[in-house]
Amino acid sequence: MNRLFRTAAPPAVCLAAFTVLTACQSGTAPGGYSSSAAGSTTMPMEMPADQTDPAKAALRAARAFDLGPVVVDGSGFAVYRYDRDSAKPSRSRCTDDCAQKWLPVRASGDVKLTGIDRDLVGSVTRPDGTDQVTLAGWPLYRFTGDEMPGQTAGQGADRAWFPLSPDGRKIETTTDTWRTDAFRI
Amino acid sequence: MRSGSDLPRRFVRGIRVVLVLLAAVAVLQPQTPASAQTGVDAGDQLLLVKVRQAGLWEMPAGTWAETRGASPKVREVGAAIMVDHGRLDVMTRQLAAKLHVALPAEPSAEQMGWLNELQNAPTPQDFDRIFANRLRAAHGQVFSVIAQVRAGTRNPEIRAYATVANQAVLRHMTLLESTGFVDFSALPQANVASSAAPAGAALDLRTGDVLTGALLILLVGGATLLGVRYVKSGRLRGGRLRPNSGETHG
Repeated sequence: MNRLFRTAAPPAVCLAAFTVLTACQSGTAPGGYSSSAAGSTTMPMEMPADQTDPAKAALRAARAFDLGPVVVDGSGFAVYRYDRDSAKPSRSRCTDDCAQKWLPVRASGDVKLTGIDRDLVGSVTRPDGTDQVTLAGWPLYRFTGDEMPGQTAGQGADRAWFPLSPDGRKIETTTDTWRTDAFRI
Repeated sequence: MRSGSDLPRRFVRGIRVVLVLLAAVAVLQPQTPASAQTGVDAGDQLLLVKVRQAGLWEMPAGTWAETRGASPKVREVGAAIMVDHGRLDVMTRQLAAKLHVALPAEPSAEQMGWLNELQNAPTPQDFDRIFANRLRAAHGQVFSVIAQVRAGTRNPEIRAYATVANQAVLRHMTLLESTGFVDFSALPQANVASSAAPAGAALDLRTGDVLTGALLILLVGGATLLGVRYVKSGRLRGGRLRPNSGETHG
């Protein structure tokens, strides 16, 4: 009996230690995220997505935390200007394939403005006969590569496309340059 | 005679048990997540998940505020939060993809509840109040996660990301407060003392590490016990040749 105990005790101690050890480690393991907790829930409302609706034609002076003042449309998506266009007089040089990628902001009816000087907003007739909204003379576009409100994936494309500040100037600051500037002495 | 030859055999058996257990532990070790190979720890992952989830409910909330808010200030703040979280979400998803961190696709059940609360606000004035307080409280929670990860992360990209997220979230807290609807007395009080560095923090030890250490000591102790038994039994065998040493029961 005593001998049996003596033989069994050390492995038993080890086993106990290992069991707890393993349990602890799997308990604190940084596993990948499982979204099953959010499981069956559904969004109560989808993000508004219809930017082609003329009734929603709107421009807003927003202020992105990193870019500063930036013009967005009624759905919060950034609008762009194109360096190869001209502002005086307004003229668009983005047609055909280009206009498939960069969607002209249609000027139909009144454009609802928030925080933007109405005197700076106008329109220009495009080569295909449609009207396009202008800001400080610059024809405005939406970028098809933007998927989220406030996204500026098209910034700097072809070194010619930029979001605008409410006065019509192009925004060349990026998150990276902003961060560098904000935290230097 | 028989028991004498038994002892080393028992020792070998004991060692074998220990080895089997060691192998079992090696097999039972949790699988290393893919993100471990990219130098991302649990805190880094949590940060990306939390910011992603914040965006998932604050973007629709901001969108509603822009149209349904009673006060012009709430509408303005809603638009700003929508734009900022859109930008943050893009950064979050890009970094998560790069670091192989899985992100949730939907808000949490709690966040869904807040969205429903907003949607069912009886009046635009109620909407303003719910919007400012729910978003302000939620931002406060994310803010402390960002701060902790920003302070302690080992990953330079997460550090840069946390810097950016910190600015955005601090701005939103300030904007929400500027509506005048935030009830500060309803916010959880700062609990700095209890979150201060616990014992062992200076040595960079976590509770888990301490526990692991203790158990390893137990383990080594068990093995040593075996060894001692073996040595002792060897001496016992020799004892027969030396009549002076009596048998001891350890």
